[in-house]
Amino acid sequence: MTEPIAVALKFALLILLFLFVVWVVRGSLRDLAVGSGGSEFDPLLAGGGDNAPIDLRRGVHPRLTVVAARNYETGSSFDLTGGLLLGRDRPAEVIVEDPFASARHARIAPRGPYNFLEDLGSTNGTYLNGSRVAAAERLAPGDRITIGDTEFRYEE
Amino acid sequence: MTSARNRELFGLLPIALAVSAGFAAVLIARDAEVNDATLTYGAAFLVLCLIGHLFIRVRLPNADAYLYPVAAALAGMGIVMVYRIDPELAREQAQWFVLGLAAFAAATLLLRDLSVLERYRYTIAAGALLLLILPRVTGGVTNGAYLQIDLGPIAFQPAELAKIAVVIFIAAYLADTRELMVTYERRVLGVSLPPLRHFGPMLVVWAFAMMLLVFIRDLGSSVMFFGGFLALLYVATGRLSYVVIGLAMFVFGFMFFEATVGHVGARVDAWLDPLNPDLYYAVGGSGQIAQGMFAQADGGALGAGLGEALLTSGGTPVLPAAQTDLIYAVVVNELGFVGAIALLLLYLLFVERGLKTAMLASDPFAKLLATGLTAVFALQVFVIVGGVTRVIPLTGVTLPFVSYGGSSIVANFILVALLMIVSDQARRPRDEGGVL
Repeated sequence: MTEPIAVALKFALLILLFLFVVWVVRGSLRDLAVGSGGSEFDPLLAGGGDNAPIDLRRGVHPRLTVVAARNYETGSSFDLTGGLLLGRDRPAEVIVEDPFASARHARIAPRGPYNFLEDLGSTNGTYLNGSRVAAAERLAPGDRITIGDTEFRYEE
Repeated sequence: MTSARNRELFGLLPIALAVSAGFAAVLIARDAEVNDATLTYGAAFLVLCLIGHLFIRVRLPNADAYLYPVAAALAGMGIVMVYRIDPELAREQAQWFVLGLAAFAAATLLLRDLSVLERYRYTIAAGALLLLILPRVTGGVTNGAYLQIDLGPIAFQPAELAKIAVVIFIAAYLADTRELMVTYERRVLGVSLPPLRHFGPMLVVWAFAMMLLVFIRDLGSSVMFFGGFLALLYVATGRLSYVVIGLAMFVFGFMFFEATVGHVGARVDAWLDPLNPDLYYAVGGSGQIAQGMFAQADGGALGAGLGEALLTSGGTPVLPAAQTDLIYAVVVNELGFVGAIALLLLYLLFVERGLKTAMLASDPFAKLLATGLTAVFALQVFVIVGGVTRVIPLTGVTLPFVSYGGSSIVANFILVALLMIVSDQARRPRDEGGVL
């Protein structure tokens, strides 16, 4: 009833389709492993790795001081050694209770001898001294970091 | 970035081979000689895909590598299946495929900057409304629904293009207002409600979906539009309560019209009891659903083989609308469970790439646009596959890229073009980002 060649061709079609599916899945998984940046160069990830102890010039204790926040007292500060995640919800270490904050909003992480502020693709943006952070920006003492109505000051 | 394009190019090869194998199998089943024609079809398909690929290489060098090959795989499977059902329709489908690629190329050439779409949101929304109302004014009734505009020899289904226009409008609107909606929300009985001023548009979209249901009688599109809107609302505000309210509103409206509008009620009855003889033999009754189920069961695990499905018996069609609504049943009949899985995996991967694109986009409008387009695409697949497999009432929307239908192919190629433009902007290396 059915020609063997036709059956073989049907299986060829199916096998090719599945090989194609496997190829796309592998590509997608690799894309996930690279991280949200895709083919982009991420200066923070490219630095020595997350846990590498970084020598931020001897005797310096980087801190993040609260200037204005709903859920933190003004003047309180966070230790920045090793970096911090800022966002509306856990697992952020600095919880920004602000309608303009994203769940994972921004990150402060050391790279080389400096701390960098990086916006994690937040919807409303992170502002450094009044200008929106595009990628990662180097932090200097006295810098103002603003998320919505919440403001912090970077100190060393 | 060129590696993405090379991957895309590589992905087109197995698809062209699969399409050639499919054509050859169909021809053998027809007792025709496998002549050069088969290879010509496969080669022509490959050449067309390569032309599209060259446009991407020039205009969108950083775009996602997989969206285009997956779309090509779906379109290739579609052409093989339509060719198996009716070679004459396949010729038309091939012409529409070329037109679709032309629309794709035109979109990549004209829309370098998506903010144009954001700026003309109201014009686009008005156009979408006009497109949806036109068939009610001019066109005829197809299966109890007003779906087509007849332009001389071509019947055009405006809902396909309108779905893109509606997503553009909602994405642009929410990109502006979502912050206000969240900031000024109130809690009533433990449920957060957006302020009435910004809740208004939600009511408008709901009324619009209900209008589709009643006046255009297009249940499938109504689910697609409203579902896409709720997905966007959720992504824009992060409030699950809005989605719950929206769903409740839709279900309420649907139940009301199910009881009062005959067309909607008949669809539900046919869905609940397709083997009831009264419904089975009724005009526009459950015969189509029942035959679709028989066809799928007949496929078994590995399928009856291309060209083996029983589509007509003694000159009368066994499977009504086999080339459009029920094409999924034909695929399952001929390629079996395995083939159905392959097809659904292709759709799943397309949606995965679409959402990945949305996650990478940094501009709020682009992010919402990619989310909305992907959501509408996924919902369309759900509405028709769910209808054919009797998960939900069967309503006539096309299976994207696979069903026979010109407006569907063209509209979906535009959808892919928009996703790839978003993807290209999102994946552009940062040091070039400033030069737009």
